[in-house]
Amino acid sequence: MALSDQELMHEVASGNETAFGELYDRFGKLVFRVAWQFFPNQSESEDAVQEVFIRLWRTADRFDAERAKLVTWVMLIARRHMIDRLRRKRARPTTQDYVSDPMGDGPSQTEDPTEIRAELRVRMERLSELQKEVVTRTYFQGFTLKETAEQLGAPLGTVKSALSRALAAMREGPKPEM
Amino acid sequence: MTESVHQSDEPPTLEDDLILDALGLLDESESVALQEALRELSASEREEARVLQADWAIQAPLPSVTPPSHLRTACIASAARAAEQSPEHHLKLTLNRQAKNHHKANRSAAVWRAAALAMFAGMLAMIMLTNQSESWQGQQARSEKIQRNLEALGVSPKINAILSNRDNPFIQFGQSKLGSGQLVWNDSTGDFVLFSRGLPKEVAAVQVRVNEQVVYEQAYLAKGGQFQADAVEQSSLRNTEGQSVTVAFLDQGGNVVLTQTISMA
Repeated sequence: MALSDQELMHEVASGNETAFGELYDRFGKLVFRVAWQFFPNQSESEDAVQEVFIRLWRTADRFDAERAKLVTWVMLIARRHMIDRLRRKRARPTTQDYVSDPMGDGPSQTEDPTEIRAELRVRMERLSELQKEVVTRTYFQGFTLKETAEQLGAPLGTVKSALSRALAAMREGPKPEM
Repeated sequence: MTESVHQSDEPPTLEDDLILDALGLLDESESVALQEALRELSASEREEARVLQADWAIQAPLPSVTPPSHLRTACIASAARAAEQSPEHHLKLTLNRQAKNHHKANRSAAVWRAAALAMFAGMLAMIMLTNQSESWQGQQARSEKIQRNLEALGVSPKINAILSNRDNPFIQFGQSKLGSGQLVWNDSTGDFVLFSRGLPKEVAAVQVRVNEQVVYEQAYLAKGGQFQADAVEQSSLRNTEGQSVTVAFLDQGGNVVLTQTISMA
């Protein structure tokens, strides 16, 4: 019988390797996709994924299923880690990097990378200029919402609403596989 | 750009915040504020919010790529290594910036050993790297554990030999006018200890890698807690067997202010 989110993280926190493997089985692909979004090359994405899972293990005892589903927790940890890593690297990739010119070896693709790029380009094209700018800075480049608001001279609330609605619009396209 | 910003000036809704939070886009304080706001909601509304966030976490716009099959094993191995190094799930760091002495690169091993112990006693800067776990059952048990740790770290036989040789219990990192450091074998505890001194004030973090795997990464919290950065970049010196040990000190912005390279004393 499958463990609940809370049970799984309890086991992970206690150092159960099997549970840790299950955590990877459930979310490894998702975390890899987040990593690839920030670091579109094989080795860096793999490093980042490993770091995220170590972080998940270290924070497993803080997971509270009452507050969030595990996937939300994992995504939160993963994205925050990627943003930290991106900032440490101080080489922020642009959307152009992602859309036009991923570096290095490709991952084990399920889709042609050119299709991925084209798809993203199409999705971005649907957005207003503000939304494109906000998505690029916050979602792809790792700037905080506050930083983006300052850069654009816009109220924080405006940036927030523009971003969430832009992401919603982008999500309308073909859904990525899990 | 500014012009377009003001064309669509809409306040964020709770749903906007939930989506951004699910994607890790809210900062810590905003996330806490959101959690507080959620507590004001009814149980059913909170559940609705939970489902919305989970849905967004799964269905976020992300590239459709698949991780290589070996990554699962690598993740488990990384976690196992991290567990070995940090049995209490937290790596330890104590740095003390009271040091005033500066070492010279050509000191003998004995002098260096004494210097390392003096630095240790004076708490110039100490970082515990590995394994302070269960009780040590005598010298033999300790040696075996040390060996296992070294293996887990992927330390090459050459570096292993340096570290475990009591007559040469340290690796010295190249000096810099900005500071210096040594990776020292602490024979009394069976730990690796990283000593550093003469660090510039802006040092905020340190990172150590063995074979490109981060085996230690810790922010440096000086008195007053003003330093919060994580460790970052590295420089490595590969030995003849292709292994590498890397240490770097970084400022708050993640810039390397002092990169140490390995040399054998």
